Amino acid sequence: MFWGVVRRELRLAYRRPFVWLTPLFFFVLVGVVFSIAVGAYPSTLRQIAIGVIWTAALLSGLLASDSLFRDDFASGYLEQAVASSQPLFIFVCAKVFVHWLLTGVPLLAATPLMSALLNLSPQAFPALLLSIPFGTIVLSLLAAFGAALTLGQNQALLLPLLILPFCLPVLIFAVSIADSAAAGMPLAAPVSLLAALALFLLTVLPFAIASVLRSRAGA
Amino acid sequence: MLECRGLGFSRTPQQPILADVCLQVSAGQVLKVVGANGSGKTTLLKLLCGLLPADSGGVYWQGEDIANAPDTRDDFYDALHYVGHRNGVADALTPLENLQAIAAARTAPARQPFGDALQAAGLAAEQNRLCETLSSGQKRRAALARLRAFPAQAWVLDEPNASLDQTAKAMLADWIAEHTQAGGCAVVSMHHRDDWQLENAQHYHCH
Repeated sequence: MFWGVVRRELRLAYRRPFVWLTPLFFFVLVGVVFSIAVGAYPSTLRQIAIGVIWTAALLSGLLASDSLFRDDFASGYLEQAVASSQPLFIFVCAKVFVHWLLTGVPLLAATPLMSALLNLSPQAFPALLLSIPFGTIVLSLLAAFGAALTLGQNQALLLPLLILPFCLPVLIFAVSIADSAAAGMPLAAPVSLLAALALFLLTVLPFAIASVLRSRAGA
Repeated sequence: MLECRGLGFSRTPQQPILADVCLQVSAGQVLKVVGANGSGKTTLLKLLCGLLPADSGGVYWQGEDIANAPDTRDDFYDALHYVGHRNGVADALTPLENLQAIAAARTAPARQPFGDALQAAGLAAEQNRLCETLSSGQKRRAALARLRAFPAQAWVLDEPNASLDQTAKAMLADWIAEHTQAGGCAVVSMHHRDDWQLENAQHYHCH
């Protein structure tokens, strides 16, 4: 089930590249705009760089979350996944994994560019690279949860409203990782907190998402 | 084989869509679910497949309630083909890739190579074309190809005739006949019981 769904999702992403290229483009665009707008004050830019990068990551993640289950719901593939003897949480894990692969990993690749644009301090850069994989896993899981809950609602604003409050801990921990690094403090505590959050949600949320999807698939 | 007892469903309390529906399909039988637009055929079929929660009553596979135990439900889903209006075919994939996607959701191995299943469905030449470039009848054939590709004892087909031409209708009737002769059962919805001649068929009328 897992690799079959992953293969299907990657094929769909290959055929519809704008679904995942748009959030990446948006992410970089925020960096460009900030570097132009605040570029005259390099020290201010350096101070806010981490906050800007994570805000952009959060908002671009929301852009891609809306369509997470919508197409499968509309085409009826979700019904096929639900009316299957294969466990539904495996389907959910595969969907979240590909979502992370197409939204989280490109962010990692774009981070050096963003750091240069926003004049990020060199001490904070490795810490940022460390925090992005964990943070984006959490964001992908929360996005999938929100997408499942708002499936078939046709209310574009509901999803961000629903999951934004739950994304704030990610923002706080991730920014504190980079801040600690910039201040020369040890990273172990904030990194483990963020990793713990990611692990906890990784074990709990797929089951919750699966049960929401089971109740929604035929609606 | 597949039955339901006292099945009821409503979206609002004032207007029940289905009330106290009792049905039974045995091995080798076809059940035609007949009714006008909006009479609840699709709802009934989704209830039978456990895709909607029933307000009352239950669905039984081999005599056991599918809502009771996950094991019974999984046994049922192992043996079920559901082809609904939303037929599970993605536009951005080819018919062949869509069958591979269905394979990801099935436990039993394929009955025959996907190319053969698509050839049987009359899509030999189209199997590597994106489904968005196919007509709606061809997309429906692409969805129905899974009946040939994967084994299942129970077929639940929601207006499978929609947008099919005469050749494809005859092809599907042959498939259903072959399926019931091999001991399978089928639930097929349509507007009127005389719309389609099927062997060994009973019918249930939705109001």
